[in-house]
Amino acid sequence: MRRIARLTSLVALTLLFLGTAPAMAQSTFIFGAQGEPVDLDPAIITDGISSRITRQIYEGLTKYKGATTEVVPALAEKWTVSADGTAWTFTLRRNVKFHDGTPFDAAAVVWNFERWRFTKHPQHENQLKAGKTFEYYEAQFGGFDDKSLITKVEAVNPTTVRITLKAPQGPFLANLAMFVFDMVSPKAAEKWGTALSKNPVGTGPFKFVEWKVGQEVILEANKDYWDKATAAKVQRVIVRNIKDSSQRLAALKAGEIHGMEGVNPDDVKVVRADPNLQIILRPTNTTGYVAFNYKVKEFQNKRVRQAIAQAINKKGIVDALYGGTGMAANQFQPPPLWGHNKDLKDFEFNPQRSRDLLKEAGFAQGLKDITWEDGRKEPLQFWYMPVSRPYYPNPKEIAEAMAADLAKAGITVQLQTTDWAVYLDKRKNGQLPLYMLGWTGDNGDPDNFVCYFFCNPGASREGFYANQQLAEVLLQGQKLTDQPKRAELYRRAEQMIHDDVARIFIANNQPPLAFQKKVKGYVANPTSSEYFNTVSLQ
Amino acid sequence: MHRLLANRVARGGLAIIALFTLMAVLSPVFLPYNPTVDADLLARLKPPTWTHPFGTDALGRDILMRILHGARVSLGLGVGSVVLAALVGSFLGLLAGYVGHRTDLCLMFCMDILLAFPATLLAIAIVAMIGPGLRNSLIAISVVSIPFYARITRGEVLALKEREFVTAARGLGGSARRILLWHIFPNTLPPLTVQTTLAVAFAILEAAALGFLGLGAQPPIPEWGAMLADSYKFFTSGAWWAFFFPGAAIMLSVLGFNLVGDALRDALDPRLRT
Repeated sequence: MRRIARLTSLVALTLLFLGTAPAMAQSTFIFGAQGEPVDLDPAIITDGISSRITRQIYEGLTKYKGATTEVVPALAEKWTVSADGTAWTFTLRRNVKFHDGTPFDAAAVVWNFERWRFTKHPQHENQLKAGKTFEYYEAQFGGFDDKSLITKVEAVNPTTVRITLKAPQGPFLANLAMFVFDMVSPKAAEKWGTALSKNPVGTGPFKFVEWKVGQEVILEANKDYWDKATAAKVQRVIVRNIKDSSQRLAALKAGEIHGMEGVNPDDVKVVRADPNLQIILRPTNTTGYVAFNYKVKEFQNKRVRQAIAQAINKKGIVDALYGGTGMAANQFQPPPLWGHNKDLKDFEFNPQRSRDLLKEAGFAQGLKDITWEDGRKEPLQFWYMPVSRPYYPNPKEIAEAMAADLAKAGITVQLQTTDWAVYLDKRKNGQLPLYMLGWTGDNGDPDNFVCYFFCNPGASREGFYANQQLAEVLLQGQKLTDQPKRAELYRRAEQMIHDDVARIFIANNQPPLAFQKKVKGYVANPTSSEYFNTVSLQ
Repeated sequence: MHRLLANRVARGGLAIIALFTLMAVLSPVFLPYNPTVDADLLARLKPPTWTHPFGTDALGRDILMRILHGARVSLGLGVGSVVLAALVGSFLGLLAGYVGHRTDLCLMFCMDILLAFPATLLAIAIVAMIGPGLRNSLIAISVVSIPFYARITRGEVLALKEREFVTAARGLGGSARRILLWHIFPNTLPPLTVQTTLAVAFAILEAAALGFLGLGAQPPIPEWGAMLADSYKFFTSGAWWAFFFPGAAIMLSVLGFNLVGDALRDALDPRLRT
């Protein structure tokens, strides 16, 4: 009986919801996310689900333009750089206020930089004590305190900030446009401390209203936004957490949400066939790869690596398992990046050649077991990710397809996976012999793709791959500011990675987003976090 | 036995069990299958046709073939874990019931601890500890079923050891081991048989649950639960055959063992004897 009562109330509620939907739809944009935000403090977070929300609330000095990674002014109106590339002077926009009413000025910028940079800054130290780190600052600017590439940030006057670097950095402006370096209100940060993550205060087109844990985050339009031309077109934004992708699509079809990320590859055609729905593809900025562990003796042999590379039918996998939104990759950087090497020729898919290579390498009977440097012998395990990511929308299927390809070339692998956090941990510690992973670019700079992986030769997280020459080329690229010269270096780096079969790049993807047809103006940015102020409902 | 066969429900159940047993035993003999090389991406998610009566899955593998071979995995797990659990459980039960005192207290306390956890949760916890895989899920499922056997056997033993024939055997100078093995143990079997049949159904379901969660059989081994987990997402894109057939296989096999278990209980219950 109780169940019936519950059912009727559910039906009544649904009817009520449907009844009021048109009126609400004019003003509320509801987006279905794949999971729960971790935190809403932009300096702390590293994941796309959190940054999608912080991007609406916060802004940085620079930002990416529309569907590109071109850097354009945001809170900084313009900037100049000294001839040696180490001193940047930013002119800030006037009359910008944080949501708490405090002015955004040079002092606020200095305060933010000091918070990121100094481990002893009260609003940095308290985060560390709470077990949170400023991971991206460390990654992009070389470290904290004395290790930081940024050595001085000073307020020249209320609207001018000068930033001094130890050495020039090519991707500096692109780095500043990352969601991590969005400006938080110093007053709010001091008021809330670590609870800033639940009470975000920025300058952006939307203000934070409420975070219903496990359900949704609610934002409302900022009526005092500094730029009337790009002010929010909807009154409210709700980002709802719906983990299961089939359920998310059902919610979209039922009109409970207006848009969603993480469409199953096989659902792309379903959405396309639905007269009420549309697919928007995010420009490709993501690469899925298969990586070797160089502590495995067999993988120290280039012939074996190449045998594996030639055994995998990339095109077959991409055509079948990416729902028509992927393309086979032959290098780390996706085609739109300016460091992409167009002249690079990939190994052809050729299982017979793989067998021959294995034979030449001394594995005439095929490859089944591996030996670690410390003498441990074990069956060759191939690790696949337990979760779907933009570069591998369905890792298990892709892994099974690759395993079948490998088996046909005489390479027998055991498929393995584990919990996502454990997986990343094992990878970081260099415990996975052969594994799948990928990368989505943060700032459109080749450095962010290639250097992160290959600038620290012998790092455990990169399977102990040690290529000093490659690292030198990449570090040189990081220091230059001249783009054509840098592009040349990155193209060379890609060729070096390919020639050494350091890693096998499988696919680039244009991750699909699904929307109701009445959603207009959604611009998908390659960095995976876009502004919702352009979105309107018709 | 004839009372069992007289029952129409039991005959249905036995027929289902026979069918799945035949699948498990015969398919490796007549339809050799190598899951490691089986993938044909060009033929993925094809609806049922004569060449693929149950259609193909996301990798273009024939679903019928995988279900036939999955029977071996699921039934193997079900029967294997139950046999293991029955052996260990009834041994513990015999010990606890016959020895009594502190041993009894101690053993039953341990069993109560195991029973305190929901079975599936405990199985997941065990697999999480010892690692996923077929063998480990078999162990996990046995461990969670042990207390049932231990309790049932102990209860029977407690009742039996007061009976005259046991006293007689003891009076004739029979050793404890002899009395346990030859006089008490055989009499605990009827209730255990019922429990075992029902437990196979439970074990198949548990195995499928673990497989569904990715903790059981690892890919590309064809296991019904894992097949279901891999394909339920096609619900939205219309490839119903990919999840329907594995689901039906799980349901039917569990139904078969449950029907027989119920009928067995009726047949063996002395109160129902006329």
